[in-house]
Order: sequence, then C-alpha cells, then structure tokens
Amino acid sequence: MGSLKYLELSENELVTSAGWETISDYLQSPNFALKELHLGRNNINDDIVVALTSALSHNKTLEKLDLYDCTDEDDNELITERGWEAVSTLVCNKTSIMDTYNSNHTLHGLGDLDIDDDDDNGINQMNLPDDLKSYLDLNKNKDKAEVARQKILQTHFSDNDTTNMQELLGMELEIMPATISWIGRPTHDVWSGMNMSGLSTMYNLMRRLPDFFDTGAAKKKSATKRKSV
Amino acid sequence: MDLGISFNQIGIEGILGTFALASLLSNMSSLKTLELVDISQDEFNNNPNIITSQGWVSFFIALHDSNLKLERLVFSHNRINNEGIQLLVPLLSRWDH
Repeated sequence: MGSLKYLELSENELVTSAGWETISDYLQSPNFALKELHLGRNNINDDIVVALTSALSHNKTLEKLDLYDCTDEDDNELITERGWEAVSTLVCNKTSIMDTYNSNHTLHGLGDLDIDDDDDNGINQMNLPDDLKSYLDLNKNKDKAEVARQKILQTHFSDNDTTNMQELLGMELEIMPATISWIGRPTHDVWSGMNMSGLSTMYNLMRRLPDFFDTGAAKKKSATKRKSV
Repeated sequence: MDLGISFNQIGIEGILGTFALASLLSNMSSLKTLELVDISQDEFNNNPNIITSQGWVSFFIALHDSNLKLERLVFSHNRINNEGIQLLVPLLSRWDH
C-alpha cells in the first residue's frame, strides 16, 4: 500500500481536460492509497468526472473527492447532470443486484473541506441529485456490508419494483431463512428511515408468502385459546 | 517532517529556485507533508519572482530521482499546466511503491 493519503490540486486553472485525464490513470495504480483527493475549483467537466469515476469503480480507499465549484470563466457549472449521474452509478450501480453489491461503498464526500460542516462541505450548493446525496450518506457507515444491503434493498426491492421480489419468491426454500434474516437484519439506526426498506421488503415478502411465516398456525392457536376460555 | 512553503515567491529567478528546492527535497526521505500553495500567482503581472508553468515542469523533472515518501501533498493555486500534471502523476505512482 502506498504512503500518499492526501493530495490537493485545487485551483490549478491552467490544467485542461487533457491534463486531468492523467489523474484517472493514477487512481488505478496498484498501490494507490489516497483517502482524499482535492480537485475543486478546476476546469473539470463531465468527461473528466466520467473518467475519474470509471477509474474508481474498484477503489476501496478514497473517501473524499473534492469537486467543489468547477466552473468556467463565466461561472457556469462544468459538471452537469451527466457527470453527477456517473458518480451516482459509481456509488450505486443499479444494473443488477450484483452490480449494486460491487459498487463503491467508500466514497462519501464531494465537497470542499474548508467549507463549514453545517453546509456539509458545500455539498448543498453543488446541485447534486437527491439519490446521490442519499448514497453518499449511506457510504459514511463504516459497516460496508450493511451499506451494500441498504443499497440493494432500496434499489431492487422498493415497493414499486416487484420484479426482484418474484426472484426472491422463486428461491430455494433451504436458503430462504438466511435471506429473510438478511433482509430484516436489525441495525443501529433501524427506525431512522434508512432501514425502512428492509422492513418494507419483509412486509411485502410476508404478504406474498403468508404460509412461509406460519400466520395461519398463529391464527388457529389464538382461536383455540379463545374457545378454551 | 513537514514542510510548508505557501503564499510566497520562493525563487529569485523562478526556475532556479524550484531547482534548488527540488534538489533539497530529493534528500528528504523523512518528509511527510509538503505544502506548496499559491507560490506562482502574479495578480498584478509585475512580479519577476513567480514560478512559471515551465518552472514547475522543471521542478517535477528534478523530483523524478527523489526518495520522497510523502503522506500529504498540497499543491494548490499554482501555475501548473498540462505538461506539469502529466509529469506529476507518474511521480505520485512512483512514490507509492
């Protein structure tokens, strides 16, 4: 593992896209160990962000990538929806459950650390899509298995998406208990809203597989109890 | 060991200054932090001591044989250009070995 943990190259306006592209090569170097890379206030556009995010797809060290205030001479934002979409895909690739599982669960900061924490390092000024903010928040959790679980549940087992629920229902019965346990696994912030998707999925599963949860037996039992009283 | 040379005009003649600094740094394997912030700006275009883009290119070339093992490099607000960044990137990878 390399020694360099912090690299700041902010405000070097003479560097153009061709120069910044070389940074993405560095991000893929085998001993790369950076935790923070500051590239704010530079001429970084969507193409560069796409290259950077592609280079970071298997990275497990970089926590902060400062892309704050990348604007042109007329103060127009150089990173648009396309660039943020690439970051969003980096931290939560929705193509398949495995792609979501293999997404980057480390990166959690895109703002400028010099900006007061109340504004989350300026991230509120950056017009990030809401889903990206939500994924970055999830990535702050040190339990990366839990981060992956939350992303999978939110992305593939939301109330509106029943496709994957069907897949779940077709699962072999032997592995179903482990799956149910994984879905409903309690976390520290179980009622904070972030884990609600797990409970929602569990509810949907119970609705579709009532026999599996033995709800009939429970009803019979309570009915017998009532009779005997 | 940490070294911060920021908000300054270190070179009397720009490039010569960067060469001198690079030679010094090449023998500083215990250096962990290097901060070179805002030392080549010239807001009023009348400063003869600024480090130009070519000066930084020379600086990075001079560092190629260094045994630096930095943990933190701050290199903001300078006149580095594409050639400079293209020389810096392989340096970073080499320092990581």
